[in-house]
Amino acid sequence: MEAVSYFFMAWLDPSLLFIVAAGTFAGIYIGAIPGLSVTMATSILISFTFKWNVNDALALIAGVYLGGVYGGSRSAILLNIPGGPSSIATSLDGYPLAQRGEAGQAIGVTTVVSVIGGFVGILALATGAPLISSFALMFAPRDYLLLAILGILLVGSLSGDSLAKGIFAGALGVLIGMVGLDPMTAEGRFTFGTIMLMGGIPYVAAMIGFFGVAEVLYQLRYLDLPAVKQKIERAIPSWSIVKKYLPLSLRTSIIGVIVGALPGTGGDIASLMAYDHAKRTVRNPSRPFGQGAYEGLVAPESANNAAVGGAYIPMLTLGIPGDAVTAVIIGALFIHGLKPGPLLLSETPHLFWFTVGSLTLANIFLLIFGLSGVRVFSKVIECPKGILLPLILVLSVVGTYAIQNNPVDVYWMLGFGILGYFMKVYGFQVAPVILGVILGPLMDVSYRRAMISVRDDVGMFFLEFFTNPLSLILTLSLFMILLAQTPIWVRIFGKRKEQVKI
Amino acid sequence: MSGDRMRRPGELVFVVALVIFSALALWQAWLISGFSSPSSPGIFPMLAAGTMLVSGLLILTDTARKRPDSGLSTLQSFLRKITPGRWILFAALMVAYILALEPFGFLPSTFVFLLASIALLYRGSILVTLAASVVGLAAIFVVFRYVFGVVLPKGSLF
Repeated sequence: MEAVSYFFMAWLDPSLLFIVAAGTFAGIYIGAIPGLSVTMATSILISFTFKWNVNDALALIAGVYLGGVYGGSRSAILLNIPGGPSSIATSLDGYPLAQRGEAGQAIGVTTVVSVIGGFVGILALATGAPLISSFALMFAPRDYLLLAILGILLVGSLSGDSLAKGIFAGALGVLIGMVGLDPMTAEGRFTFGTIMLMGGIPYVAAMIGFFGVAEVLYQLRYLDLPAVKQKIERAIPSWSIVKKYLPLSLRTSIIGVIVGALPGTGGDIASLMAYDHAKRTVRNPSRPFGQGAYEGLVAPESANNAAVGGAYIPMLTLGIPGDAVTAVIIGALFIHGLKPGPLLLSETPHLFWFTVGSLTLANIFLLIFGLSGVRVFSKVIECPKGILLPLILVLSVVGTYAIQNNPVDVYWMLGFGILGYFMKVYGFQVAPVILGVILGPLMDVSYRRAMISVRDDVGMFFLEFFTNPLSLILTLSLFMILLAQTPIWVRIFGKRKEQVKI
Repeated sequence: MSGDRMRRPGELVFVVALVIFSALALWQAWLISGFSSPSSPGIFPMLAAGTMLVSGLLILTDTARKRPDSGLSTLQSFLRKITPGRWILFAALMVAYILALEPFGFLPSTFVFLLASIALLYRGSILVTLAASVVGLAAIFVVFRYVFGVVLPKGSLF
């Protein structure tokens, strides 16, 4: 009964209702503007909202997250430029549809299936998280270590140039997370005797640097892309169309939930896998794939919104982010003094049900804004980047400064931003770095607890990776990911790797 | 893996720098507590830095095998493709802006930064540039100062 009251908390409180609506609206906008990613928006937002009460902050972030993932489809359809990594697959069939003059219909269908996907994801979160959470209490420290490595490896292996670059980026993040006083013995690590480094490197500065500043610098290269204007007619799709694509939408939503719930992988991977699934299973698409098939729009858009609910599952139950955005949200929870992990659900169930409730509400707003504001949103994506990019930089500075009012944090942000730019240019992904920063301390503590529990016996430590059934599954998955990336495997199975790039 | 791709200008130098950084990090991690026990504070940093070093070396061999990008000298193509003139100017403005925050405070330095960088990137008329800077700055100031209640950097001079 209590769960129900927390679930409806955001629905009944006018100010929370407004925050969710504003968040969703802003999310669609931000997502629709190419180059402004949801990750960037959430990392800047958490620093602004840290003084708020935690419910307000979570409600806003839920709206921005859900709205942003959906918003990316707008520019994918209208401009052939995905608004974010999770709408790359959308542009494959979305843009051809716009060229045929069916942009309005395409946006309408996208909106409806995104909302369907969103609901499937939220339902999975509401039912799956309590289950996993009770199960999670059985996880030993070494399982957390394995899960965290798995998360970083998954992000690293599925995007960027090569697995080695992904691993490097993840390990760099872990190293950044290690700086400061050791949480178990209070010994200084990488502090070089300076007081400044004893508190560690502020992870908000790292997030905003890698996701905000680096992205601004990267976008400078694409300043002169011409904007294409599209005529948009009515957007509300007929019931028969929705009914026709409902089975595919539900199937790909399930793919989205599963991929989203895997630690480390989010909407970007989910949408590509869903697109692939549609291509393989749909026998008679409305048009050939790549030339404006509605199936090619339904699949990725259902999946990426379903992945949102999925990504919340490991974050709220295990404290392990499901994707880059939830890594940032974990940062937000830390700032508000909460510790995401298996105890979060039993100690603060209201937080969980509140999150589920505000996500549901955001999904409803998504439907309303998505179908009504078609014309308004298509204007925004024409906003000139020459004005936008300097403003984002100012926001990044304000956001970084806001956390501790310390100019040094801003210098860190600047340094990470420039490093992040070169990493992006040379084919390194920055998402594994942030996952590493967030997961590094957890991995370190889990590793040492596991080692202490076997009384520093290294042989015993490794043996347990194979003797405990749960650890064995995780260890085998790790090996599978590594094996699937080796040249021999690729040659034998001829698995083609889809490049995830923006 | 993308073995057929050409080497981007400056990539080799960047990867070498990363490898050197990883080696230094490994050395620093070893200094924390050495190998005193498998659960000492230094072990995990050593594992992280060691992973960086190994993967860095793998990336290095992969990068070194690729052909350079074009007939131009590395520096020339680096300047053209990785850090074009406008990029360098914007980056310089950005660094100057962040350094100016402490002495001059948020409002003056942000205004000058917005004006200069919008002029550089947007290349519209002076009026549009000025209007965009003023409106942008006012919006940020009002929203963040009053809605979010955020403390903005205060200068020592203003």
